[in-house]
Amino acid sequence: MNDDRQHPRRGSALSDGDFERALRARHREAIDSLSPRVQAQLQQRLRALRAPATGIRRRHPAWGLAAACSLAVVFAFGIHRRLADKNTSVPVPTVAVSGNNDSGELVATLDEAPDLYLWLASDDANKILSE
Amino acid sequence: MPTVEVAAATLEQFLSGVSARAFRFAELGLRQREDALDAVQDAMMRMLGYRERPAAEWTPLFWSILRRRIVDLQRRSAFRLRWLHPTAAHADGDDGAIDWADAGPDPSRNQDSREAYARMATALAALPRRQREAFSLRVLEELDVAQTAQAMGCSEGSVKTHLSRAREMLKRQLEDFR
Repeated sequence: MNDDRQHPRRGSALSDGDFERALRARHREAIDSLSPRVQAQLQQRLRALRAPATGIRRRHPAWGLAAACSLAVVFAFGIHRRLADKNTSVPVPTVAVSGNNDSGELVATLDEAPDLYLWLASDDANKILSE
Repeated sequence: MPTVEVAAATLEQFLSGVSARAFRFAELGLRQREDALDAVQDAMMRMLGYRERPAAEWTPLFWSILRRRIVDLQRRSAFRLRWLHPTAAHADGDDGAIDWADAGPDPSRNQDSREAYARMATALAALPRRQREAFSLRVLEELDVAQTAQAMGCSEGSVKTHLSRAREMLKRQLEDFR
């Protein structure tokens, strides 16, 4: 592969091989003589090649945590709204129960408070009844 | 081929071993330190996508990627200079300076080496792009003809032609080079 370098040309002061060797030697010196600044920058860029993988690993939990926090806030807000709606839409009627167990009076009270039937059909009433 | 590239067991080792050479190659093509660093970094990042390829393929693949990246940056830079800074198109300020460590055990020799390399870099920069690529890869980076052809995306015959012309031009310009 070096055939074209070994034979000096007639009339040329330096053979191709010698000429190339001289240039290669200068080139090698140049490689060894990079300024500290460029050497540092090359090292830094080499390190940066390994960084993206770890960077992604580091970034993923951060995004996950932010998403989880957002979901928690939305969930809490939704629950709060739902409870508030329940409290306002189905008011628990106050049933006056007299101490003398007068059934006629109780029936009259039920007749006057249709919201009581709504409340009786609600989940809250079922909970209370099951307790 | 440089030993460090053959011995590289992992892609990271390969990239670490080739980074300084890649910078000099990019610097010759771009004549601008930051652009050269960016080109090297881009090429290294793209190489990560070829991690699974056999280690024997890394060398021509890396130089091919870097070469194409340099061409992209050259075009972008030419466009920038032509349209945004027309007066700076031929300016030769600090940006074109060769990067070189100031400190050294022998300041006089260091200065000689720097000047010699600057001459060599100027002569290489004056070559047509394909000739410069062929000479840099084949002679300075010591890729074989097949690898050089692969890196340059051309036939082995074209590599030899570019190389021969580059050598003639350089010998004319660097007659007294030792």
